[in-house]
Amino acid sequence: MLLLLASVAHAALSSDYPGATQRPWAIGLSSGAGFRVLEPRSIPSGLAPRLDLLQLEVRYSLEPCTWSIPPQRLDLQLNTGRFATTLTGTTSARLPVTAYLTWLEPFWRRHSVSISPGMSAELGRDLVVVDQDLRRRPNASLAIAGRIGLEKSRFWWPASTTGLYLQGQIGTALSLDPNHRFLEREMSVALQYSVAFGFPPPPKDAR
Amino acid sequence: MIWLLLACQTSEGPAPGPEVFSPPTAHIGHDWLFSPQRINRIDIEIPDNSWAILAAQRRFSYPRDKAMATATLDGEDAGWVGVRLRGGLGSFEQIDGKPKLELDFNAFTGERFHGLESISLNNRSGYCTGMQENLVYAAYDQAGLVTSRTGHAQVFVNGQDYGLYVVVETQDDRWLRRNFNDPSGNYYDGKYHLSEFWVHWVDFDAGKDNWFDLEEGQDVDFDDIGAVSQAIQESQDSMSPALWSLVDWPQLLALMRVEMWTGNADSYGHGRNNYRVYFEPGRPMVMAPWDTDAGLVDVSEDTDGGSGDMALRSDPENALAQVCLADPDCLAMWVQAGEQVDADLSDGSLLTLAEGYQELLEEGIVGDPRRACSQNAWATQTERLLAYLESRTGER
Repeated sequence: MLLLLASVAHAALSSDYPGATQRPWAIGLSSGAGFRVLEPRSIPSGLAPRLDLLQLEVRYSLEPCTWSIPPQRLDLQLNTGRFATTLTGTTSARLPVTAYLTWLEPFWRRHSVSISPGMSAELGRDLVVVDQDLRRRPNASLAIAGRIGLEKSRFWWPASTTGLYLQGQIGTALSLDPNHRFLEREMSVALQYSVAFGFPPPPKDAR
Repeated sequence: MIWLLLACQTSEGPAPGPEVFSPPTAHIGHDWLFSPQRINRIDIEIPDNSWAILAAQRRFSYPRDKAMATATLDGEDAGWVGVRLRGGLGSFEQIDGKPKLELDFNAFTGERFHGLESISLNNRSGYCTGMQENLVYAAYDQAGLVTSRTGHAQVFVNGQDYGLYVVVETQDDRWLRRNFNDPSGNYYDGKYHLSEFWVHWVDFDAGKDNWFDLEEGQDVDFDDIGAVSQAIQESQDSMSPALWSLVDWPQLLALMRVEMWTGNADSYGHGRNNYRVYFEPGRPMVMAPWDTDAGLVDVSEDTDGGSGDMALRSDPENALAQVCLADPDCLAMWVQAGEQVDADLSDGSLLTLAEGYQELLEEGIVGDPRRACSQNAWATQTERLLAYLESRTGER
């Protein structure tokens, strides 16, 4: 999946496709709520809420790709809200980043169904105590992610796309804290809403 | 401007307040540390690397790391101790503020201080009288319940005045020996769990027995907790014989009555929080209070009890109370416990204790450099507290 994302990004950035002159970028915000399923060692019930507040969303048109079933977008979500809360509220700063390849299927008028498989990684640094010294250790999690949703595009100024999605991911988290080392499975599901401004690829019937 | 900002960052903290600690006394046992007539001076010296550890702690960081420091209590050197920041959603403050602390005497050296494993230094978060926690702990004691002893201290960290603190006796193995005939049983903490930003309240519920934390004793895979949870499940219409025998009901009901009398809502009765349970071998489960800083607070008109009334009037809501209040025999005990606690706490002793604290603490509260309480706030809250205790003195 990572290779796939890398090759798509490379193709998009290196070619002089028409989309480049049409400003293929879109940028927006998304937020959502859901729940996480964790191992009982982390939380007694194994269930915790998931709040995706202030996620920065960057989208890039992949129109020139010449694959048999080309994805139309590369979507990147940076969970800046979680980064801010972990940075200020805990000793483990974490920035969850999720990348998707998005296929769009026209649904009705300006509405499209979006299908987005992807990968999610949570990168960060933990402050840990080793022999009475404070040290920083990396932490990471990796998960398979996906979202499916309904998007509505608006083509006049400002061009925008709103979307309602069901997002899910399943993966593992790794802590390198020598005092609390663990490898933990995690699964989560959330309902997300996004607003992005720019020129995302239009649905096929609008071209 | 930049220089001004830099100067602020490297300042030595707030200007020191008045020295309000009592003259040194003889250290026989540890009653001097938990005396209502004294303010002990406690000095904590935290080296740079330990300071960095403590400065990194945040409100939602669990478990909290202990850092090495040296401590001197009323002039007596306690040697190397562990310092840990305490407090959760309500009372946590960072090390450069007025943090709630635990001094763990035997964390690194194994050496106890006058037999004590540790003490808690509570930062009087949320109230200005400086005595409410002490009075609530004393109320449990007056009702004949197991509880912690308390005192006061003026704390200095690396020479800086951190102001007046409430000293609370930690409920450890020594505390068990002091309060029970057989201290070899299991002692569990029922405080809430915080996983990142999500709170789990802990109560007796089959399948969730491992939500308790074992503080002292042996790991029996929570079988003792589980037996109580199971007996609650079996008590559908009336209390099962097993539940009658597993819990010290007179003790538990008196504890919840004290919580109501003192308005201590952040407790087992009304909040399913801040409690411990002890399983003495061959005897029923006993509950003890912990972290009583929500008691005897200055309630406003829209809270339970209304203006001028610091008591809780609604029935407690927790797994054990629900079963008890639905059982006629237990309900009768509940009423009786209320009358007994009213009688125990209304003899004027708490009022006398509060008046003593009023005299002892005023200068330290008003002059505390890190917990700003104006003379007016201190006077108003203290006046209301004394008025409440007076109103209930002699009440039967």
